[in-house]
Amino acid sequence: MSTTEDKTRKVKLVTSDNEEFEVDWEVATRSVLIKHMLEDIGESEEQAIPLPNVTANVLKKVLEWCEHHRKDPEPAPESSDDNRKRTLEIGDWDAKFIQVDQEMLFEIILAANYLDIKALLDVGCKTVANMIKGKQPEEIRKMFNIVNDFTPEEEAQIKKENEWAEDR
Amino acid sequence: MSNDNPHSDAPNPPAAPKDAGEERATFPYDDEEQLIVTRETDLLNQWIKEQGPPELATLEYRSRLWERAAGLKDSLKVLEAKRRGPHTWNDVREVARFRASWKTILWRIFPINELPPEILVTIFTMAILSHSSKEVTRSRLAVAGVCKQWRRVVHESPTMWSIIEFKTKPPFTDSVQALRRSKNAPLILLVDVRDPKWSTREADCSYTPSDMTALMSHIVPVMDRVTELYILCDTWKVVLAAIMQLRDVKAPALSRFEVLRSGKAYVSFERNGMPQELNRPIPLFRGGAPRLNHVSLDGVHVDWIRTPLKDIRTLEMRKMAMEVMPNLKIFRKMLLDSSGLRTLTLEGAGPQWVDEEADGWIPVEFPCLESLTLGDFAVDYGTFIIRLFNAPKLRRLTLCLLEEDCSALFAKMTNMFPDLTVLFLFDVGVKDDETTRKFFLSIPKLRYFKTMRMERDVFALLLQRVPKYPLNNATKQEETEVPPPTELVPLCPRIETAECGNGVTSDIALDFVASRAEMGLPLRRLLLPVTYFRSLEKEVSDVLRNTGILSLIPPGSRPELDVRYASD
Repeated sequence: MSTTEDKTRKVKLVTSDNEEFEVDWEVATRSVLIKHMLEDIGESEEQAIPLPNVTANVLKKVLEWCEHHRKDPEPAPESSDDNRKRTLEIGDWDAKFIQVDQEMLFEIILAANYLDIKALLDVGCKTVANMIKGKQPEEIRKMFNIVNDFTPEEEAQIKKENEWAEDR
Repeated sequence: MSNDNPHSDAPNPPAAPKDAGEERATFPYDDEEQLIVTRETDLLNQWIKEQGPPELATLEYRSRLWERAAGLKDSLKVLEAKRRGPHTWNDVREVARFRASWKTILWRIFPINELPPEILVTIFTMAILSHSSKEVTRSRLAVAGVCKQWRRVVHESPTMWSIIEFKTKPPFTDSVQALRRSKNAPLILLVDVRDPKWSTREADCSYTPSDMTALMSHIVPVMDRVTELYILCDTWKVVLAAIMQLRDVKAPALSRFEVLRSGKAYVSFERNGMPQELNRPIPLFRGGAPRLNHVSLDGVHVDWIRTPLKDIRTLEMRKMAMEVMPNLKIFRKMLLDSSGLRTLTLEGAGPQWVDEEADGWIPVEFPCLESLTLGDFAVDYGTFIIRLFNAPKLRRLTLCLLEEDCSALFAKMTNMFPDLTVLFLFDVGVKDDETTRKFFLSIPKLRYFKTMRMERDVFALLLQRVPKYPLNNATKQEETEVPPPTELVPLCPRIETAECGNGVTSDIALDFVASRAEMGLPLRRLLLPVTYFRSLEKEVSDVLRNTGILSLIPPGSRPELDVRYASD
């Protein structure tokens, strides 16, 4: 639980390329990693949090997301049927936010994973999953330029599995 | 998942006028954007079909693509800027074309295989998401068939195997392997051994009880991590073989259990062919199923006393012979043990009908019941059921009664469901009489009106202004003593959406839309099945489109699609 004091508190973050960001506690703690680090260092306001795996331009983008979602409720713990209830729909704001080039998308996904921001990781993963969903292997390979590296034996096994699935 | 949405606005996006290249684009920004996204997706799919095999992603290959992407991005910026002012249809098409080209390049550069395995698992899990187990199986195979790395990730990730189908006769090689790969992950299991070509004669079914026993021998040992179990089969012998195996099972994680036997409620057996267990109801999960809260039994009954049917939130009973249904005393206990019930479906099944036993019955209170479905039985039985409980917070009511006059049921339900917002009438005989009007007057919050195979009468009823009758269930004699009210009010003034399923013609729907608008109560949405819409004359479909509120229901969509239907 955050206190009123926490909400007015500022947090310093330092990126891998040594850029410093000062943000509201409420924004920074969308990241579970940062939240835990802040808990570890206690009340020391001057101490900056080092983020050696995130560059400044990526952190800027991540913080833009955190700022927009600063009031969102804490994500509920996962239950066994969570996967089934999930959809690939992305909210309007998030859909516009994630319209970045694919290099940035890749970096955002990695940063969200590292910083432990599940909702942002979901937005990134859904964007990629949407390009896979409903496609045949050959189509997926073309989309992501993935070379088919299966041996003839593996190809035969895959064919057999597909026949089994269709033969029912 | 937008295609799974039963109420997606299928007629949209509007197509750009043909041969209007240099004409000025006239759509609002959002409609134009939707048009661009649709066109972009088409172009992407077309590109995939025409594209040659992938190339090795050398540094030179990547920098070449980056260069092209940068060029396209610059052109796109110019086009998007043009879109902010007056622009032509050609400009709109060019935006779609450039966006599609840009994306084909960027996705080829996206280093998906450099993502850590745990992220790939998240992406793959999302990509194979579906309510249909069959679709999950297909998508999982597709993802595992892309390259060695993806195959390894799929095979080594237990959560990718948490939805498993059993659809064959022994030895179930692939399903058993899937179970092995799931390791300790929670499981959703679908057993569907129905034969679409089955003659409906019990003796003709090729799937045998011993096949089912062999199948269940793989499921019983993993019941400790099964969260949902669906069993669908054709005959009594096979379904009994399945539930016999579950008799003493402990199912600590099980929350949802559904069994469907596709044969008829009453079955004739050949001499000595009747399974003995049929006369001795089988209890389920005697080892305990503490989390079980969703039970659906269709064409099969259980030992109602010894099966732990407590704290149920969804109870569905369908197609049962009267003799095997629970008696009123047991049914009352089931209801009392599940006061948090949210969904109750009784279709061709329910408690045994003994009117005398219901005399003096104190209705069971269901403060949480939101959805009630009554179907496939006589109106008299429906009125008997309605006496058994109170559900003041009911929001959705579905009736499917196949009778010409359901007035008696409407009379019974008057004033019972003041919060009702969704009403689905399927083949229900509705008379335009005072009794029925009073029922509709008692559901003033109705917002979604769904019909299928209904006559014009019910729509005519909702176009009337009626006296504000007292709704205190007064007897007729008492009513005659009260002077008739003079204030006239519309019935169900808050209806926003009318969904007209099969058997409701376009002229009825159009009349309804126009007349409600004339009453000053315009609808916001009219839903029609896409297949029906496409069968209409162009003139009629244009009129429907011009209402400005038309949405089409894609084929096969159902409001609550679940595994049972999805595999049909």
